[in-house]
Amino acid sequence: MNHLTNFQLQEYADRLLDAAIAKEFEAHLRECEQCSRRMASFQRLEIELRKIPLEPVSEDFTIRVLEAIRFKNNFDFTRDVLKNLVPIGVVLIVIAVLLGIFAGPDSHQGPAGGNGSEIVESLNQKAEKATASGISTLLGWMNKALGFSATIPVLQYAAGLALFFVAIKLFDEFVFVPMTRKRS
Amino acid sequence: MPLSDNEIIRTIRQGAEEAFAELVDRYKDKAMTLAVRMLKSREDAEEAVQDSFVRAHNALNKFKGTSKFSTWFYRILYNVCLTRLGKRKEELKIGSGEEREFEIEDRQNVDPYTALASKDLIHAIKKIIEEIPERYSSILSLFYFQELSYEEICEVTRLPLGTVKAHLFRARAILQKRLPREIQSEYRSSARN
Repeated sequence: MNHLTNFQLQEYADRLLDAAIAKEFEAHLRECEQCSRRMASFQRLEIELRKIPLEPVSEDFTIRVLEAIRFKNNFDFTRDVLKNLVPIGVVLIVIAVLLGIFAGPDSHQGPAGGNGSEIVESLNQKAEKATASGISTLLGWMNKALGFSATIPVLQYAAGLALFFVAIKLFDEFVFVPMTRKRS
Repeated sequence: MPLSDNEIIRTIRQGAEEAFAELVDRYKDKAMTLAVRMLKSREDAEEAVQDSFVRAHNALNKFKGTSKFSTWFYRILYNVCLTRLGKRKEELKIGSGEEREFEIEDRQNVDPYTALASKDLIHAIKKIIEEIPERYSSILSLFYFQELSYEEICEVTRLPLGTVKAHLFRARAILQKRLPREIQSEYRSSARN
């Protein structure tokens, strides 16, 4: 049998070989001084490597990890709220504008007459009016929906806030998270 | 009798968040060892380990228990370290591992007694490990310090078995070559006796 390569010695030492091949190598190592010397050197290195102590972390490490987890949880909640504020705001404004256009008091009036700048001005005014009336319609609906609390303003605000957070949570769960998952 | 990792995880899932401290205490030093071997900086390593524990905690619900918690956690840590290495552009520096190895060997030829300044064999080995490319030192660490099997190392690093074997072989070969002559001769004499 030829001398064992260093790679073969490693496989033998790490017990990666089939039993039959390992037996063959064992027999060779008993007879071959050169290979057994290399094997001894290899095993010595193994022993020394296992003696190397672990690298310790600083004393307050565990406390710092727990604090970091707590901080991250708080931060995540704030981020959840903030990241949803913009899209929810946009959606509410779009709904308000649409309501103003299609359900507002001026929704059945035709286009304004006059020259170009007057038309633009009138369109701007109309848009402002539509948004304002849309927002008031939206608020009106919300008041109707929360009618039970309308007489107690604090409850009304609390219910509005609760609805707002439920909306955020729903948006996060069913729109934002699936969207980011898809993207990643 | 101490709780198993899976029992601790079950406790955390039931709401006992503080039980996570037990897992941190259990793996912090081993994790630190892997991070130091990869990042070659204690400060960076400690940050990476902390970051990994926070990530592991937040992803605990995704841990299915099909593999050991340690393997799953080391995978997170390994990725965090790789990301940090990438950010530091360390890969560029050590990417050409072969050149670096030759550089190491050349240095031995130029000044073979540098390592002999320390008679401490462990210190000498640690010094060599600190200088070898991250891809070798990480596998070395996973094998000797995290005490993972070849299969588990493949799972952590997502490298094929052949590559893991080859990296470990190269790491050991570099160690053998770079160990100071005095220690080498000690090996020879011990092999002869």
